[in-house]
Amino acid sequence: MKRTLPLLITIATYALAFLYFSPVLWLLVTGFKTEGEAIIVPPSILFEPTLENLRLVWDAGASAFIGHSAIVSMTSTVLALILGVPAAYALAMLKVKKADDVLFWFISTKMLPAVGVIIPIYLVLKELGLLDSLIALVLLYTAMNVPLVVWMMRSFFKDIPYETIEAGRVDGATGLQGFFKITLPLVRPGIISTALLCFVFAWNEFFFGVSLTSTNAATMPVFMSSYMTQQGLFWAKMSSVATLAVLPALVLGWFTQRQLVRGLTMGAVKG
Amino acid sequence: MKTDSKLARGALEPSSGARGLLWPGIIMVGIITQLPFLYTIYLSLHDWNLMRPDLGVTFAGLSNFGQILSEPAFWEVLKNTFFLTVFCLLLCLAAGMGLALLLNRDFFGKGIIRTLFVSPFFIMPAVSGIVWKTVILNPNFGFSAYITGKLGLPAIDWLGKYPLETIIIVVAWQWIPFFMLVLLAGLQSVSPDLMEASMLDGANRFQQFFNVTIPHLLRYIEVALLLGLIFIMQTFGEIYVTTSGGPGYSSTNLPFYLYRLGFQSWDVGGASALGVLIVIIMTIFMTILFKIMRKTFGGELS
Amino acid sequence: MKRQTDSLQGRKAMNLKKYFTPVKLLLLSLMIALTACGSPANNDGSNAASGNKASDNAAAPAASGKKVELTIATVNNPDMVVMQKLAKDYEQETGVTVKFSVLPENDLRKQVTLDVSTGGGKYDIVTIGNFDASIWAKNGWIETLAPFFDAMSADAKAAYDLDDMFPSIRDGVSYENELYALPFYGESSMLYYNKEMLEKAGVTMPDNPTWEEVADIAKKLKEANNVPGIILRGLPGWGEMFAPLNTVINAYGGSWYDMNWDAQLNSPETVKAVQFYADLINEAGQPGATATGFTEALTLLSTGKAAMWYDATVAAGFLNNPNSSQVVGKIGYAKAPTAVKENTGWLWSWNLAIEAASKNKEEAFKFITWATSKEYIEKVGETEGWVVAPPGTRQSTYENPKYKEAAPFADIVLESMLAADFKQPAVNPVPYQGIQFVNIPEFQQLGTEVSQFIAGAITGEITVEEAMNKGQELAQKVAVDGGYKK
Repeated sequence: MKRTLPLLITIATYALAFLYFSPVLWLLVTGFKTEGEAIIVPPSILFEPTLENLRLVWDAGASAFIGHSAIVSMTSTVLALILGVPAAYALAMLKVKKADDVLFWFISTKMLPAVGVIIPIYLVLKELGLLDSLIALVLLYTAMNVPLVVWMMRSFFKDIPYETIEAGRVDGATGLQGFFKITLPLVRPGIISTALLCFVFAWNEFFFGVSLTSTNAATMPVFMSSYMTQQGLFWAKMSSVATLAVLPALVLGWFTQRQLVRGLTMGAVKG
Repeated sequence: MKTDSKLARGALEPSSGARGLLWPGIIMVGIITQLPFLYTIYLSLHDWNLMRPDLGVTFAGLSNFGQILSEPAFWEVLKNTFFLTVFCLLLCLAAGMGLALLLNRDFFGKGIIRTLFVSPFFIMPAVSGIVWKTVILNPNFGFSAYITGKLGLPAIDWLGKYPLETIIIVVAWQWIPFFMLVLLAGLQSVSPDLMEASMLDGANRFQQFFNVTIPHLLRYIEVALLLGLIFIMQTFGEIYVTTSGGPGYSSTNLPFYLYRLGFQSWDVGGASALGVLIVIIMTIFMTILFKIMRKTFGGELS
Repeated sequence: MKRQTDSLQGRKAMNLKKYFTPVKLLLLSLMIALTACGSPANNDGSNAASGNKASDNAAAPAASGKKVELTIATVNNPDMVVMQKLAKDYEQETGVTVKFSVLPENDLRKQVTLDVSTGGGKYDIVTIGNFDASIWAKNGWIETLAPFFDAMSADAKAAYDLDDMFPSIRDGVSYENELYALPFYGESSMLYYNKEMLEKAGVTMPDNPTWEEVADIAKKLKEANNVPGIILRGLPGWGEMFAPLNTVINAYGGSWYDMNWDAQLNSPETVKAVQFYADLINEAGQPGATATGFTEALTLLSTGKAAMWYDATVAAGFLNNPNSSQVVGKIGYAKAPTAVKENTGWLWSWNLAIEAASKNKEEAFKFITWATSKEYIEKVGETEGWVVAPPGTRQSTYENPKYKEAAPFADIVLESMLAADFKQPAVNPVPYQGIQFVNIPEFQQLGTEVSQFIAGAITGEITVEEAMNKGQELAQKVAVDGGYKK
């Protein structure tokens, strides 16, 4: 009894995980089927994989869109960290008047849905000649992610044990040096997990991407959306393009999830 | 908490330095999010239909606000937003906790299993909406129809009959992994000493869970809830590709209502007024929530 | 060791640095920010570089006779995919660069509306429906084409042969008798049925059925084959559910407005038509009707999971494509079902228009005449196969024996296109144009909202009468607020 119960729980966990993952699995697999096979229920497990859809999608110019997405997501993530981490440090470690209000203000900027500001943003970008430019998306995604960085990093900074910093100060590592030599390494897992979240949110952002770009800066979700309501049978092609669209974020997530857990579990450092 | 304030007062930096660190972020976010918002406020006081340039842009005072508030649809949408957010968060919390507990054991292939569970979180909302709509929910060729067919039951028209509930499930499917990760992190950081001590006190597993684990997890729960709240309140992609907010308004939430006003009616004034209302509603809601949290967690926000 | 030197230096510099640290941090972050921003800007060339320069640069090549770049906003349907392919040849012939921005229909309309209404000038050529054409022309968002045609040589004009275009299609892209767009592709609606399933049920389909006959057959088909007897779109949206539903409303003598712009949605005729539609779906239609759009319906019929389908004529091509359809050769065709009114088939076209804010109008005109010419259709037929030649725009296509052979349904389409009355769609005279839509800008919202109510009636949340009364209120409000009702 004592032995079988954990085994049963483990098996149940396996089954549950498979069920939970199955929609993603369907997506990844269907991209390699023909359009005819893609709509068979229940989905065929044994089939001859075809690269035809992937080739079609690639020929339609997927690489340019992936490039735009990569540039925009990475640049905006780096920028959000550069702007957000110092602010979070200040809010966590230094004496700031109304620190809570500042934090609340940062969070409050995320309350207005993107649809609510799209027309003003469109008009401003038009005046600046920045419509359909990568720079516009970089700026928007940075602003979108800075509050997230501030909020998450602040709690990581707060979790740094006082003794550690004190010890550093005794060694004379204060100011900028102290920050880079002692504080920053301590929150590295936190920075990585924050960066991952920023990247994922920027990569997956749909509405600004679709509304503000057309060709020169169109991102992967824009490319994908052109397949979404296409006339005719398109599940296989849709799956192909969706696979391309979600894979970078997914793979990144797979590889950094350990960091993500570590980042979110910074409190353990204390113990 | 005490040590933190001592640290600050210990004059690591003067407070002018703090400002230097804060301002770049504030300026950046301020310019890009607040200026358009000011413009939104301006537009909310005007009548402007993009499709009718012949009518022009005219000052309307507060009539846009009056019109929205007197619309029965608005109140239905508000109610939907509330239900969607609250039930989704509860579902995420409960299921996320369950999964975190399952994964907080030692067993073979743990890393892979966690990878499988985490995956939905990284999928674009629009993609998960389409996959659910097509593969699982479609009453003709979806998987649920296949199963009900095998059981000899009539197919269920999920998106037609239970639109809001279905969207809650789809959104939860995406956000449960995040809750799971945060809570798992929390579980893994419970100090073993504490657990042992409570064991020695003769606590059974359930008592241990409620007396030791849950209090320890409160901060993690707060992190997950707050982040989840902001994003789930803004659910858009899933609705856009599955129900388009229907039938009627039964699965329209505030952001999607804004979309319907702005990009189906092309009523820029009305949509802007709704945008302003959303910010007001959310600010009030969040302020209350923060107050409650401050009381629960003491002193200040974590 | 190293750590010691570091801390030593740190101690020395401490007092000085104390104040400057935050400032330095700020400078550092700004510097990195700027270099980081630099990379995408460079990557993107002049476009993202800065402000007004971008638009200057865009205009410059046209003036100096250098390479012209045309940006085209388009929908991702198969005909447009072919056009993208053949545009490569056009680029080679003319030296003009053609860039496509491909979007789903709804996103396209949103994007382009945003662009033209704010004078953005992001696109030179826009793909618009016959619903949009008159509205956009009225708003001054697209160019009238008369001056361009006037400037054409007589030979070129004769080769293009505007009179070859179906009159109903030309009506759809005209405003105050002036042409504003060139039709690229046109369609009507018809009834598809699975011949084997009809055989099994022992029924036959007349060539020109009434809706009552169709409903009767649908029920028999459902019983005999244990599949939905007929598929009808129920997905809310003015261009989704209302495309077929409006033709049913017209067939039963209903309409959206009367000549005084008084809404007619709860008139006995309109209610009867909607009731018929909802009943038919619930008695013999597909489950999950309110999530069924064109694509879902196509999937059902082409996998042999339904017996009949009433929808766009363009579907015939997909149903006969052996790569994706399991019912090739099993499909029969009938004209759009009727009731009190004959010729109820709808009329839709995708058209190419020149955006008013475009800086390359001459080149844009050359491109749209190329893409809608007889030669283009010929070219598609010869290189891609005649079955995918853009249908529904030119009489000459339907006189071409190669096309007739490839498209066995061509005659029904031709008859429907010729008979479709774009200007007078309903039994009673109406103040608007358009068969499956009302050509006022407010219809996008109105149609979508009312279709949401009807979706509620189909799922049984409310009755059809309740839905239509709600719709009536909205429609009346639109007529008054929009300034149509005097």
